[in-house]
Amino acid sequence: MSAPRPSNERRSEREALAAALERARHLLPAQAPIRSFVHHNTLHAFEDLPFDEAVVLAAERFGAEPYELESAFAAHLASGRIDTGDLDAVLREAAIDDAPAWSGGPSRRALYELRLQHPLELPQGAALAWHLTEGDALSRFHPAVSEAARARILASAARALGRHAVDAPAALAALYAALAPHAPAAVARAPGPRPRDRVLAERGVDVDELVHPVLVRSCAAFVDQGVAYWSMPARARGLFPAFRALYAAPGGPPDPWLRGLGAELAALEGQAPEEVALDALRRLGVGPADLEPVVEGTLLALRGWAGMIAQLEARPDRAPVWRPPARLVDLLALALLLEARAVQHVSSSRAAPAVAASARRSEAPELVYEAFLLAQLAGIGPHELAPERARALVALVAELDGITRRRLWHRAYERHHRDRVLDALLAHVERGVPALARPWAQVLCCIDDRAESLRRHLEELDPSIETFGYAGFFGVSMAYRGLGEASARPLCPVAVRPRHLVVEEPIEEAHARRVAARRRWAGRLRHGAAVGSSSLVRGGVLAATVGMLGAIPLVGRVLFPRLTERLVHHAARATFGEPATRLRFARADDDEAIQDGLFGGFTVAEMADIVGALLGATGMGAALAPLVVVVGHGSSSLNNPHESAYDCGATGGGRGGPNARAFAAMANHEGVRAELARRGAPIPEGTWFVGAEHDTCRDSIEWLDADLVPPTLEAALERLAAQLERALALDAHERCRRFASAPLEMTPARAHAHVEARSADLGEPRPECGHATNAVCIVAPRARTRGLFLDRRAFLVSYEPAQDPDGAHLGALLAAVGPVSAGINLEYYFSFVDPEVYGAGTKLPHNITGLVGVMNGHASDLRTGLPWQMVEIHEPVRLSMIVEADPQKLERVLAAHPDLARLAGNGWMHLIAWCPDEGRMWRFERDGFVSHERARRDVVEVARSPELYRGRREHLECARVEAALGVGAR
Amino acid sequence: MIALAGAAGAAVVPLGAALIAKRAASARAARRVASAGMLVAFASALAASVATGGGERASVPVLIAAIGLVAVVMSPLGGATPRTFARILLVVGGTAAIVVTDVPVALALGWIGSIVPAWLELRSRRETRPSARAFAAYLVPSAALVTLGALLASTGLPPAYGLLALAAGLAIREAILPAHGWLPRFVEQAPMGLVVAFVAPQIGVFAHLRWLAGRLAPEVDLVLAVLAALTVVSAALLAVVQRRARRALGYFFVSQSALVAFGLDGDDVVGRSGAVLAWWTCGLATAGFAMTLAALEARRGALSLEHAGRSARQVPLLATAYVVLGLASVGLPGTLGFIAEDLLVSGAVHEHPVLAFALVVGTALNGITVARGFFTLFAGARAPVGERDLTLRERSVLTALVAALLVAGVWPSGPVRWLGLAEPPPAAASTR
Amino acid sequence: MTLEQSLRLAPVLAIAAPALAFALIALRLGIGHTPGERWTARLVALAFGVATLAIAGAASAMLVGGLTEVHVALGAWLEVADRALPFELVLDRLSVPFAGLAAGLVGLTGAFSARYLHRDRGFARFYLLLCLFGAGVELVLLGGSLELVFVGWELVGLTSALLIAFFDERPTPARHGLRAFVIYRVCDVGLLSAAVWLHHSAGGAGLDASERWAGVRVPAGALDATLVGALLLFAALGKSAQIPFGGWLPRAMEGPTPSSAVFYGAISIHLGPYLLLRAAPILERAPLAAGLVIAVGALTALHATFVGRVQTDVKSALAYASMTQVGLIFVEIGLGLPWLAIAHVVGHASLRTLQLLRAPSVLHDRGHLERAMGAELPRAGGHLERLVPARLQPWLYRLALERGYHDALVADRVLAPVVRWLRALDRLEERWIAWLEGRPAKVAREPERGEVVR
Repeated sequence: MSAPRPSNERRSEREALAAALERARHLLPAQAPIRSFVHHNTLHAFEDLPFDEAVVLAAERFGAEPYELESAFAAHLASGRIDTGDLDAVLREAAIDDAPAWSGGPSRRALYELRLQHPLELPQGAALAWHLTEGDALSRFHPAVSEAARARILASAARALGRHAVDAPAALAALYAALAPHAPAAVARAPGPRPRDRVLAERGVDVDELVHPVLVRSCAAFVDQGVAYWSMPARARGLFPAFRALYAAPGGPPDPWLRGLGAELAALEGQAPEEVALDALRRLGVGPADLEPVVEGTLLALRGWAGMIAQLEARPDRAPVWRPPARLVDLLALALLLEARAVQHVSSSRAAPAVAASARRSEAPELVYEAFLLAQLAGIGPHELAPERARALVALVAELDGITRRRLWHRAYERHHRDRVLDALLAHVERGVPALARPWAQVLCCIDDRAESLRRHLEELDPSIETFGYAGFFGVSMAYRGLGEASARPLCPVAVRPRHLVVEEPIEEAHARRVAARRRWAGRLRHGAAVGSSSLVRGGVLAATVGMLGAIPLVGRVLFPRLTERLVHHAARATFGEPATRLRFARADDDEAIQDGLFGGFTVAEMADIVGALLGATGMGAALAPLVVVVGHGSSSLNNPHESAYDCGATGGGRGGPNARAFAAMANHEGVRAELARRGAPIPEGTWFVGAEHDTCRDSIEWLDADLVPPTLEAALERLAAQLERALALDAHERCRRFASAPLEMTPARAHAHVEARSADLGEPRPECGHATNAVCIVAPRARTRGLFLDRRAFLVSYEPAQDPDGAHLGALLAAVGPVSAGINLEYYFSFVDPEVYGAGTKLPHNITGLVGVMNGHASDLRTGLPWQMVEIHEPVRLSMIVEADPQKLERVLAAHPDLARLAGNGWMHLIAWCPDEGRMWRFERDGFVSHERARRDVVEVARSPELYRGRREHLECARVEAALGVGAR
Repeated sequence: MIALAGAAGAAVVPLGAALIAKRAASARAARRVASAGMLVAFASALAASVATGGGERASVPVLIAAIGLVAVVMSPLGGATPRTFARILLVVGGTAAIVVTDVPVALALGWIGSIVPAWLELRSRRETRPSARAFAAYLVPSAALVTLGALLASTGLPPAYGLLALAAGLAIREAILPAHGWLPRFVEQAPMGLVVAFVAPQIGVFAHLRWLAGRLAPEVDLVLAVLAALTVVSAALLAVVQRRARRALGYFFVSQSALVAFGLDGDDVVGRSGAVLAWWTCGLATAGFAMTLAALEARRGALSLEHAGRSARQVPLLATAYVVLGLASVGLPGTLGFIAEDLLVSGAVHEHPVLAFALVVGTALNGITVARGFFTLFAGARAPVGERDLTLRERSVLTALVAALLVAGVWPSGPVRWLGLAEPPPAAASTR
Repeated sequence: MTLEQSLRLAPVLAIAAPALAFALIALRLGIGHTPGERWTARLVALAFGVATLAIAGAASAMLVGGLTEVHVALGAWLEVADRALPFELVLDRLSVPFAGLAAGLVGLTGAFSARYLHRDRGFARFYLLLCLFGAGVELVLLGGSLELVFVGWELVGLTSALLIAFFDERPTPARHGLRAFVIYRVCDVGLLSAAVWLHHSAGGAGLDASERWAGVRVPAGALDATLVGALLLFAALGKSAQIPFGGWLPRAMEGPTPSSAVFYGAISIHLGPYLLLRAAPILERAPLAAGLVIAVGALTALHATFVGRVQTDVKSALAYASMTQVGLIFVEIGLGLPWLAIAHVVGHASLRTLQLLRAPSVLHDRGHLERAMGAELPRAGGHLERLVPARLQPWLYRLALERGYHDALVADRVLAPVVRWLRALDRLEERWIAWLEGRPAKVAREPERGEVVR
């Protein structure tokens, strides 16, 4: 292929390639197969940089938007979501000087402020020319211009033109003419580093259009987990070898640019993909200096698939069925090999290079137009605009460019929300939260923002129930295999590899076997029909005979989703029955048997660690109620490839029910209780733990092992179940206000039925809102936030500072909770801010491919991030992490946890220290904590939450709810 | 009398308006004057036609005035001067003059009168000045041939030579193969309003109906039919592979006008009716179509068909007008174009089955050209900032146009009766 | 109202109701007043409800009255000299089940989409196109002459293409919409030509009464019959995505899921068989045309089932599965088994619509299935690996993965040379004009993109 080179040069090349590959790997989306969707910071790779720098850099690299669009900010300004106070504060923070823009002119600060108060529509290129010739830009003042400014400009124009009086068109023409000569030179965009970019610029042909379909086909066939009936031969050898095995055979595809590919591949027998990639780079004329950007650009051009390959390489265990031997270098080699062919094909076509289609513009009239509008707003007339001043004005406009404006607006937007939450918290505590009498029941939920409303409603219904928040795997990191499941799956945070297996087992073996046999038989039938319907003969017979029966589920599913789902459910239960089960979670202390890298359960000591840690950190252990319910959560919906993104993040995108069940079982375990008592943190004799799973979509609850409750507590459990049921209906009720398709006036019961229908509806792309609107994380005892309406926007982490003077618990808690909640928040931020690049775009054309992800249509890149329907109502603000701790304690925690320090210090979240008893807060900035200036604002007070939210769809501010305080309880 | 007055209005009013428009202070003012003038001209032509109960002849000025109105009202200001508008009006007036009178010399004068302003407009800009030469290279002979034919006709000599000369002159103006070369270039270079005023009325069709129909020898008819069919298909093919929207439009014009010309050459009544109907619908629909393209061009700059365009999100009405008018001119069912095409092909199939098939293929290809333009210009990327949809001025004229085409498409008997196509035309009957 | 009168009303309602809904939505959009979602969805539900009921009513009336075929003449659409375009609709044992099924399925899709497209900015546009599609389909199915069928046929094509390109801010939907439009438009030539040729050779393109159901008039000459049969087959190829015009079908999945389901799973794709069923009398007279139908159908069925087996995304797999079954239906029609074909169409449409609507649930369903089976699903394709010799496997797999080289062959072997040749011609023209203009003949040769229609 190429002349042999000195081996050490070769080696250094390979090293450079490996290094480039590693760096590129970090930029790829870190999204696992979609069955276990875990939220994470979309720009994780940029966390080393300050947020504002990172978003701009990433926006350039990915071709994305760093902040919301100017038009969105215009809407925020119009609606009052950003007010002048916010802008003022932000400009003060940004230290925009007060000096006049030119001698005798308005101050720079004033011009900035004026510009920021008026987002303008700025047409580009031909559209601007159209506005100037056909529109009324030059004949009428901009509608936002004040009367006074108009008068000033008219007078100034009259003076400039030496006339007594002039009309608006003449004045505007003079103003425009004064600015027009100072158009700065337009900056031409340099083509990217890839050979493809060069070819595109020179010949107007995008070789990616040739290469990518082949890559997409190959990648999809390689990673397919079972959509295709016939899977790719030889794929067990890896992507590149499999491709080689397929395409090296003679008689390849007839596409002209692929002619000769077979021979080329055949000659590569035994070559490592690294060599192939290096050869291709050489053929493409890529020098060592360009190696890194080219490798990066090549992979980023197909970043969804490249990311999936990289993920499967790093964590093959997360592939649901088949673990492909994925290697990113295989994909790179393939991409470069094909690109080299395509570039050669296009360049060698007899065609001469394309003449530049449009003449390059030498000036940027857009800036002149913008300056023209700003001058109007500021009331600066042509007379004042001597050439150097006109130049200064245009320069100021250029300096306050789109990115800068949006950055400032974004800060104001965040500030507006954050300060209101902080002030409400301070006011709430100041007004007093009465201490709770000894509760008869405690409910432990996930920290999830969706649990906030459930907890609040429950407390409103019965203020003597206490609630807690803890990461929804409840400390139980396990691999779990449910009844009938083929394989175990991890149920723990993604960063953790589980080491213990927990299995669900039937109580009555024989009955379970009968049920399983019946279900298997039905499953085979269904599977057979599904596979058969796509085949030739079986499909024909099926369609022509029983096909018409398909109309029944079709009509049912489409027109009566809830009824159909219930019927199907009951029919299945009646036919198959549901065997009762228990978990096998414990193992003897000396049982060291390991299967698939997993212990067969937890030892007593391990369980005591888990239970003790949770009870200690949340402060629950100090005063346990007789009945403790542990509520995990999951979400079920149909036609929702992103279903798992609605599940519990703390369990790695799984349902938290088994964790809750396991935790309850451990806490009830006699040995564990004995061990805990020995350690000096006993669980009282009369306390019983019950597990449950909350379906956040249907707002239903499933009790787990409730039959084990001691008879003395049965009545209490019944009472709690009834209260929970009511709370769930109210939760559904509160959620429904955010669904534009749900009527605003509904009773809780109707709302409950409505959310159930949503989860069973094939046509519902928004089964629930997920984490959308999340904005705050509060790490404090519930006593601080109890009775505060937080609008389902806050992660609530139970933390008892009194029991943690040295901050050891806090460090562990924040290290776990901080990245997770910030990750969720940032993923929503980016998917909202650029739904096409960072998000997965609209859900409507999504097409599941290979069971690992979704594409648009039949051959697109994998779409990563969140679909638009999921983030639609989100407010893109960074998370405000409010921790009850003094700044010194937090500083110690940050020093001990560099990850946290990086997140907070680089502004990926706002970290706030809160001393409720002092009534003060401090915000963490780059160089330490800064005191928060409190504004005295009234906190609205209502008896119950529904009074507050009923009839309203928009985001709501914090408010006090008396019922939950135990004061107004009825 | 009324008819003559109305028709004269269609010719005289634009000429008068041209004189005023030329002196207007700005292009914007000139457009205002020209629009008002064309509106008056259109109204008077329509009133006259209605008053006389329609008929093929009496309604032609309506067509010309309508096209002129669309051309003037929709003309973008970018690059235009008051003189541009004056010249558009002159072209319309000259064209209308041809149809108001039966005197052969008037034909020649109108013919020349409509060519010169177009040529002057090309001459007036530096970048299009060379094109004026190519334009003249085709249209001067055309004018000469037509003048010769008219003179021969008025001297009363044996008509064959005169008719041949006339036919040749018309063929050039109709851009029938191989004399079509000037048209794509003209469409690329001239202001769109002028192009539409000059090309869309297909004055050659009128002249053909008036002077040639049924008078040419059958062999000549056949030759013309074959050439027209060839033009339909080959121009449609060339249009479909173009990379620049304007040039594609040029070939589209070539193909469409040949389509009409084809139907005129047969002696089947159905085919002839189809051709007349096609003349009307193509004239109106392509005029609107070309002007929507111009409106888009004014907002986006030169339009390329090679690269993915921009979403129609900000210009939904413009996009709708584009696709409806474009498809109406290629026989979208539900518009009058479909009826015209069906009649045209049905008429042709008895005499020239193979050529009839060519017509079907040609329209299918033209449909593809329209769709290709639509999908590349109005989809593919986020919409650019600040693009404005149709202005009230543009919207009103396009709405009227679209409504007329759709109503006539659903209820074709009305226009057919108005045009006097339901019965065999007396002209054809008298000469056979 | 007599039975007769009410029967006259039914097909008119079935076409007019969606058409009216289209007109109302279009009017509101046209005056710049985007209608609300609820209003739109209700209007459309009403329209298709009326259409479905009208057809159902007509069906029961015909059953009760023992009628098998009713021609509803509504006067002439247009009359010029000897050429008349009669406006006649036909209710018979072919059109009634098809029209009822179509109205019902489009109505269901409309109900589904009210939630699915909720808050999408193209909501009104979607329903606008859906209504036009519905009216077009009913016109195809109920039209009593090939001209009327053609009107509906074109509308179906146009709306399909516009819905594929529904998401207009990305380049590929537009490209694929255009591809579908091109193929439709090319194949429509067959239908129009057939109509015209029937006028020429058989004196009219209306549907004549016959014992089974109304059929296309059969030309006297065998050659004419074969030609018309072939033209109708050509027309059917595009809509039904048969070889060699099938490449657009998987690409059509760029549109919103419900329109993909109803168009390419249920209705649009079965219009080809419908047309051929109407042409059954001709196919019976012209064995060559019938043979062609069988050949195309069989080839497509084999091609599609083979290609479908390696598809790794759900919608493509379903698209090829549909193509397979439609191929089989073609074979049945060619073999003269019309009743079987009707049953096959109805069954297939019901089944496939549900599967396509449910396509995004495949992960969910698979989880359920796995739990039911208590094991990972059995790996498919094992017998293929056993049956096909190992040496052939890569070759065959690649052929299937590359979709039988179908697109590449059509684009590169057929289209590309034509485009190259035409562009050369165009350059020649430009040079000639440049010479006339006295400019230097510097007409740059622009690079080839290989394909006009990408």
